[in-house]
Amino acid sequence: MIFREVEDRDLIAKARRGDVEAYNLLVSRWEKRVFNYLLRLVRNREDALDVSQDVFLKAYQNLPKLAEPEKFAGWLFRIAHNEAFSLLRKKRPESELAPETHVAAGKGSLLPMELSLAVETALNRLNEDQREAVLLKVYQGFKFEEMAEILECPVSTVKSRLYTALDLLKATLAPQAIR
Amino acid sequence: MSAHNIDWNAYALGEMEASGRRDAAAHMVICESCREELAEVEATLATLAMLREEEVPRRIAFVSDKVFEPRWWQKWNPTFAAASVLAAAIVVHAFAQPPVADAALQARVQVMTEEMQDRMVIFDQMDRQLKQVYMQQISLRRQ
Repeated sequence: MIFREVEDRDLIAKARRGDVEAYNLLVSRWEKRVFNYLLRLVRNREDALDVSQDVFLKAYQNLPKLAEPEKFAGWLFRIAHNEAFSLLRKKRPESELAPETHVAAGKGSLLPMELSLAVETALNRLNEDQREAVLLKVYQGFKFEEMAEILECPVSTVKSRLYTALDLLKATLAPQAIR
Repeated sequence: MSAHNIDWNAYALGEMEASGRRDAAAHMVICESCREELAEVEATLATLAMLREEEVPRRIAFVSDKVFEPRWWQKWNPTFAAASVLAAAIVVHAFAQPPVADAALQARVQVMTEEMQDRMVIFDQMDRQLKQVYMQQISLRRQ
């Protein structure tokens, strides 16, 4: 992680000096993480891809404004968060009408694919704020303080959203939980 | 927060500071209910980790891709374009037309400038369409 940060910092410095290839490399390093975060948040592959594209273009345009290059990850995810919620606000009526999916019934061991589907379904049953808290903490590994910066809210709010989400997930995923 | 005021979520998520972590670990040895609570959190996190990470279906277009290069008319500053049209009009007027009143010349220049701006809008639309076709082609190639 530290090496990654150092390399990112180097690439950011080059990109700021106009080295487009350095920025392209930066995109390659982050596109999968950003795409997966957006995919789980907006729940549509095409939308996630379009928003990813917008995020990286916006990041490129605003790179000179990035005050602390070592905080690139949080800054990038903050752009992604803003873009995703902008889209969700536009599509609100549609997403509210989206059919609710159900967690696979049954107990006992599930295949990895089934387990992944069960997790995806359980995540989809959370509200957007709770789901995003889980995505940023569990899948992207951000600290509470970093999440608070990305989401522009107090750490206490971040913890409250995350802990509520974990309680709900605990109840939903209990039959499938790996012990 | 557990019945014994220990934040096992923070513990499992690695968000507890070293001293608090040591105290929690010591407490866990003697408290079965807290052990169970932590086990539940860890089991939930382990299950969440089973979510499959998706590949990006097609690559994110790079800023160096040709599709993002400004076209010649986009590189053309509108003010410069208008000035060029004005200069051209003056030259044409001087060499090819009989003298006309200033007002007529200005009206002519105005019309030409507006026409040029309309064309730029059309060029922009064409450019957007080209970008869409380009992205579709990348998508098809990936498939």
